[in-house]
Amino acid sequence: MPVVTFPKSELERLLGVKLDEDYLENLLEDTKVNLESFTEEEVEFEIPADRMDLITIEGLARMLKGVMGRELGIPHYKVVRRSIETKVSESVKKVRPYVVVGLVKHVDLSTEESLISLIEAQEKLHDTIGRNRRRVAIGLHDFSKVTPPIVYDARSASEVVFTPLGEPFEMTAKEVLEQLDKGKEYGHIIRNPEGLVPLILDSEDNVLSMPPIINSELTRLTPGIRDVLIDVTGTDLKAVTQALNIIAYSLAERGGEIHTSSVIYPDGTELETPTPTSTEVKAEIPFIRSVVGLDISEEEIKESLLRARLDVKLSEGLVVRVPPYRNDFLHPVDVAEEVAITYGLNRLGYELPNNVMTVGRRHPVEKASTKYRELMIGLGYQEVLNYIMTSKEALFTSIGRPERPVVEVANPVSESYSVLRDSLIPGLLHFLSKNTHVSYPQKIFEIGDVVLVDESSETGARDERRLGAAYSDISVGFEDVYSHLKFLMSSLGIEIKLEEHSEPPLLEGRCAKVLANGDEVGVIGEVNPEVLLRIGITNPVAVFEVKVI
Amino acid sequence: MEEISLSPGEIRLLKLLIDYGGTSRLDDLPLDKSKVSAWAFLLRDRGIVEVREESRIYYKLTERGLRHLTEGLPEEKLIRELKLAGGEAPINVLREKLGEEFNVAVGEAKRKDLIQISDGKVRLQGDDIPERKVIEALGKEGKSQLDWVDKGLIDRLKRRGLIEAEEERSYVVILTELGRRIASGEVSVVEEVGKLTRDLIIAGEWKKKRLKRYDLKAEPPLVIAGKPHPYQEFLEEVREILIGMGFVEVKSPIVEAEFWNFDVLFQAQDHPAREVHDSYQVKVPSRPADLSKYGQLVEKVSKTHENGWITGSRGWEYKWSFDIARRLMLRSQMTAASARTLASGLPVPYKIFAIDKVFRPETPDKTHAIEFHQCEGVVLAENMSVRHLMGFLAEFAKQLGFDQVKFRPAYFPFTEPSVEAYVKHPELGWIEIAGSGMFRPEMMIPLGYEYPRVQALAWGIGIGRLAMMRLGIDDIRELHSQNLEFLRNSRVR
Repeated sequence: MPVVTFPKSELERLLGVKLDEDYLENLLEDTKVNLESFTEEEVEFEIPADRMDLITIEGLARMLKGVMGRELGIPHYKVVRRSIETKVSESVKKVRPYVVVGLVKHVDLSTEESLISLIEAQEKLHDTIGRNRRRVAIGLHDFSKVTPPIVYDARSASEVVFTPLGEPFEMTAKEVLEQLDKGKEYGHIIRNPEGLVPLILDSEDNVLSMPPIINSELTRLTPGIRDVLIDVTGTDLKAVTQALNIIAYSLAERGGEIHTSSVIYPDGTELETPTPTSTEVKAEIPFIRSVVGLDISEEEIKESLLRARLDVKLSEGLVVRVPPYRNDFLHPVDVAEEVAITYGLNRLGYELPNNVMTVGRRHPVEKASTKYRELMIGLGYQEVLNYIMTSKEALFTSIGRPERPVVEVANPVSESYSVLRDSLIPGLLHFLSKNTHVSYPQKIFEIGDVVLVDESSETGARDERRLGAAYSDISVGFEDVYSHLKFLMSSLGIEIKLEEHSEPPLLEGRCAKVLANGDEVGVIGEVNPEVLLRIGITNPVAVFEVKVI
Repeated sequence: MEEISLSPGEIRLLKLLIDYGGTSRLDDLPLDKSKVSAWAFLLRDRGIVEVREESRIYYKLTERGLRHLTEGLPEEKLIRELKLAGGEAPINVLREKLGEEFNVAVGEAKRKDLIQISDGKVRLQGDDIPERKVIEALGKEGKSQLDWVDKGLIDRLKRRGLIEAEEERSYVVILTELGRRIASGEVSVVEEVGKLTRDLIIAGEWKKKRLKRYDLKAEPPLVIAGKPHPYQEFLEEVREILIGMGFVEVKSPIVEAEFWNFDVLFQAQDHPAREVHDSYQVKVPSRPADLSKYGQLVEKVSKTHENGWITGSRGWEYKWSFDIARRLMLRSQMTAASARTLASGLPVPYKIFAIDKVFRPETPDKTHAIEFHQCEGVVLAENMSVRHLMGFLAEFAKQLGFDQVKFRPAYFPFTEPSVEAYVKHPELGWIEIAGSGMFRPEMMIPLGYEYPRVQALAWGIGIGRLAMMRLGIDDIRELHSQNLEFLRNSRVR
């Protein structure tokens, strides 16, 4: 979930009230927004992933005004349609295919804090729906320096020359990619064999930006700017449109007037962006009531939705208008949720249903595990729990166990946790090696899952519940653990037989396969002293491991 | 007649002491050294003996003393040379023979008046060396108080570094008035038995003996026995609660297809949780999951993602990829188990739960583990509402001992509405314990349930965090503690 930080004074200015921590916490109680920190200077919020419209300070203020009951429904925005034109050239297709453009005029961005908040929202959109600028990158420009129409073109990096934002001189796009930090950080996103770079240009061929790397110094934003041109480029048309709608309608909250652009793609498709109108979602009142669980009145439903800053029409069911900057309405259930939230979950109250009589039961594997566990405790063994994730070093090399195929992850955070265990014994031996200073005898066991590579299974691997036990003392041997295993299995009504076997690190001649009804169910033996010494254990250790059946 | 009961050990000590005349050092008594002082103190507690601490000085040979014991003292060597030379020899010859010991030898011999020196010659006139007797005695006995030796001689031996003193503390036991009355037979002694034995019982001896009363203040010997793991016990408790509420436990594989972990849950294929830093992808096995058994479900899920299919949803409006759905991963949420179970076609109503491990590529620290338990619960029934969801969560919290709950809205990709449940902890305040919600129609309808008539209430609980609160630990790694002592000392709750 994204976290945004805004200047407190700017939020107060937008809300028209002084904020203290308790008051703000209280306002947010029935919303999905969390207050992360609150100081005299800054307020930090955690925004839910489905409400990216709250990532701007203006969007957050718009929502809070609804919660406070100060404003209801969708704000009235002035929209001037198709005021500018954007032409997309064929060459961008393989480089960075999508662009949308919008213009917001007469915006009040007079304070330093308002610009800081705007940049914060832009950065957080890059990190989240932008996937670090790969999917979406936003450029903000001082429109007074721009001569429309706008052109989105891809040109050879060595031929493009402009002054990048914050640089004193003109550079070629190639130099930007090779020399500037931003070029090095994001250049890989647009790398292509032809050496092209995508460019936002105006009709006089001025470079406005080279997405997703850097803007041009020419259109730098300064406090007091009135008209803001927004370009959003990327690899996913839905995502770039969403980002543009969020930014444009946030700026419109500052008294701005939205001018849409007609964006014309080479195949003739024309888009109008930002999205100029709200959309409709229909929901049945009985459905809403069934989800909410209370027979709340139509009026209450309507009021809840208005406070959620949606518009509502009651005619043949419920018609909800959803503004362009919200994309969290896929299904009528999303309307029901909005009602439940705004009405207040705690105000709804809770109850246990009376029509859900069912009989509970433990999974057979857990039921069997419980029996094994109780018997092992009766035999005086201490239960331990080890991780399923481990390393080949721990499973094989460190204890002289021959390597065999195990499940491996492709993106381990560290080598120590890069494979899944196929046996409990290595974990038990490493456990003992960390406790040689603790009094003996040491009898430990673990009941847990191992994961085995298995071609015949749906996912190429299967889990198996096992019991592993290790017994260490000044003098301990095969027959000690064998007598325990025998007691355990015969208590469970399982007849076992041993069969000669060789399985390092168990000692040759003191190691056996465990068979139950002719099937192999485990292994038992004494650990090779050479292995014990290697992991710092000087007392003999005998072990067994069996399937929990 | 007056009577007193004593254990066999105490009786042995007392008898010996009487034989030794009523007083003795404990060390001088021919008894097991490891037990005798315990018996002495027991007798003292009964007022039969008095125990005094006494310290004694013992002497023993130093390393130098030991050497001179065998090869002779320097002055003895001088005398030996003089005797060999016929009672007289020139100084320079003797100096050569005795080497660096010459000066000591001459000094000691002169002091004892054994030699005379004149005209560059040394003449023998006596051969009595009292040191010899002392070092020989010590050589034989090892150590001795040397009470027969003159104080001056002892000091000289010490100064010459031939012997050293050692202080030894020991106990002296002396019969008291009561002890003497026992010795004289005025008070009789009855033998007490510490432990019943088979022999005592069979022979009827136990009737004649007195059974020793237990010292209730004494600590019993430590025992190391088997115990369940405290975290495992907590997981069992949670299982019990859910079974009691009518839930059936289900399982799913650890190596999972993204299809079950994400796609069936209507989690979009470009959702950030599916990226490398949020879930483990699998290198071995290297082949994709075999979903051929689920052809129809795959088709429905695909359409639902792309355009909503018949669910009434817009869907994600993208091109769904079967190859992404088939990718293998390590289960990252227990909802995968719910999805698999729901896909098997459950009767309505039905309740399921799963408690198992999920895996996330985190850097392990106090609050993050790469694998941790999640507890997932699902109520599948007709006419369910968000109020019922909160009802189940409140009941579950109550069973765990939390009476106060509150709820906040939340966002989870596969539930709508989504609810976070908080409980009031006496010290820590409000704590989030569960993420929950009602499964979305885009999940329920492809799985074959008649939404919204049939709804599923679902929740996931990070059970490890609850266990930490219960066990009073603040490092999540301790749930898999590698410390045997910690586990042996853990409390069973």
